[in-house]
Amino acid sequence: MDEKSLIESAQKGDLDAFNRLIIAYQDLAFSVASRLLGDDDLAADAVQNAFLSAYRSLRSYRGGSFKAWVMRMITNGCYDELRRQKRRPTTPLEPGGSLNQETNDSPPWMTSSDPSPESTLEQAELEHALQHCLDHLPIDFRTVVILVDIQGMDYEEVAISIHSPLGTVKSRLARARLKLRECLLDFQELLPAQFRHKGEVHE
Amino acid sequence: MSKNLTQKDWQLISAYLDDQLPVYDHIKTDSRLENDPPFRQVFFEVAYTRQILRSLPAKRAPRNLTLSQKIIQDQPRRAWFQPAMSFISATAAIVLVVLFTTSTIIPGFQSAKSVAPGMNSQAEFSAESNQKGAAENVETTPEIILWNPSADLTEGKGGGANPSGMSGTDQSTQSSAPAPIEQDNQEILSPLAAQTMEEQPTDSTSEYPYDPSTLILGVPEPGTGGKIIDRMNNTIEGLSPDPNDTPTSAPWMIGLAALSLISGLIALFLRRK
Repeated sequence: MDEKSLIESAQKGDLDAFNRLIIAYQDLAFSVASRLLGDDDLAADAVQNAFLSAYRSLRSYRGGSFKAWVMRMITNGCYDELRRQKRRPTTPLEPGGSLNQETNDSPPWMTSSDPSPESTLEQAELEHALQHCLDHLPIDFRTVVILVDIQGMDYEEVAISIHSPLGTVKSRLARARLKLRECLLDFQELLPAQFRHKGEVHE
Repeated sequence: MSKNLTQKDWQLISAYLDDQLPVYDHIKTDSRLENDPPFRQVFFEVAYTRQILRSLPAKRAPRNLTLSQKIIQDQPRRAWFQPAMSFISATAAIVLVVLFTTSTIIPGFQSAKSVAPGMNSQAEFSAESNQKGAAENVETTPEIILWNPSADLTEGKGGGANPSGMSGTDQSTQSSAPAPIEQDNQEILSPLAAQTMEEQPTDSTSEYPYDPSTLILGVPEPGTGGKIIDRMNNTIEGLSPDPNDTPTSAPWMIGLAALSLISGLIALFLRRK
């Protein structure tokens, strides 16, 4: 069955059809939520809640890009979660994965099954550096840069997803990249070699 | 050097990298990249940032996020009560503000009493006032009686008794009602009363709710000062609000304030919960 048929079946209450749609989009949705929230567990819960909301409000879907519609539900769910966190801030029991902290007892690369620890370490450092910079972006900028640059969505889909005009998407993306560039300049030594400046590009 | 670039330049570069520029702007940017070293440097910086972002691996869901009937049934629908309470609170507050504003700023909104206070006792007061005579100089605000707004009310004409517009001199010879100030006290104090008694000696109260003999220029009852009694239109207008008057909107405002407060507190409690 194609996506359109699955959507029509799901709109009639077919949960199996909707679950097939979920399987098609859950990795994308989780990836976006994880980058937005900065926490995998929270992201998984937020995505499932967003899928539940999507199932209940599927009748409001009026065609167009289903991917963008799903992403709108996901980003709205993440915004709700962020607002909830803001109302009730929590303190982790263990130190987080900040780049400036001492190495934890069980750093991520030690639990990885990757046979190459060095490449895994580089990748982890890159992700940490980027996640740190993403976390310090305003939420609107963060959403756009995640959807466009990390998930590779086009501008129109992002505009639908965040319910904003195309010009807003372009503007936010440019400013987000500018802020990320400034942030990443502070983490030159932590980035993998192939991403380090060779000296030809700097202010 | 990149600091010299404007926000528009950053947007141009960003859109150029994503191939979102129109052909004309694309060619223009190509040309600028060749001839403008600072612009080119910033371009590489943005491209570098974008490359790092795009190199991030997409995350995979740690578990299956599909829904089951149990999940759907266990998860309660989004509580409607809290948004409803918020809406009620906000609406009540808005209505309260509107009501308060209109009742304080627009004086006509306040409900006027249908019968002026003290009118029933004015007959007694009028008689007493007549006995005292016009020699008594009353400095308090008199009632203003408009018994014929269409008549000429210029000096010496008196108004109501002469709707045809006769002059003051003619009036003094033909009618006893509009008396000049030199006439006797009775006429000075109650020209309308004299006229009405002549014209409608027995039926005066059937046409007007007020005893015509009481419609005089004199000392008003406490609380009735400054009222205009328009005899032709049979209406009473207050010039100054009576401090004892209570607007009928007050109970509404109190109720709305209570409703807004209570529903707002409930919404806040539910939101916290």
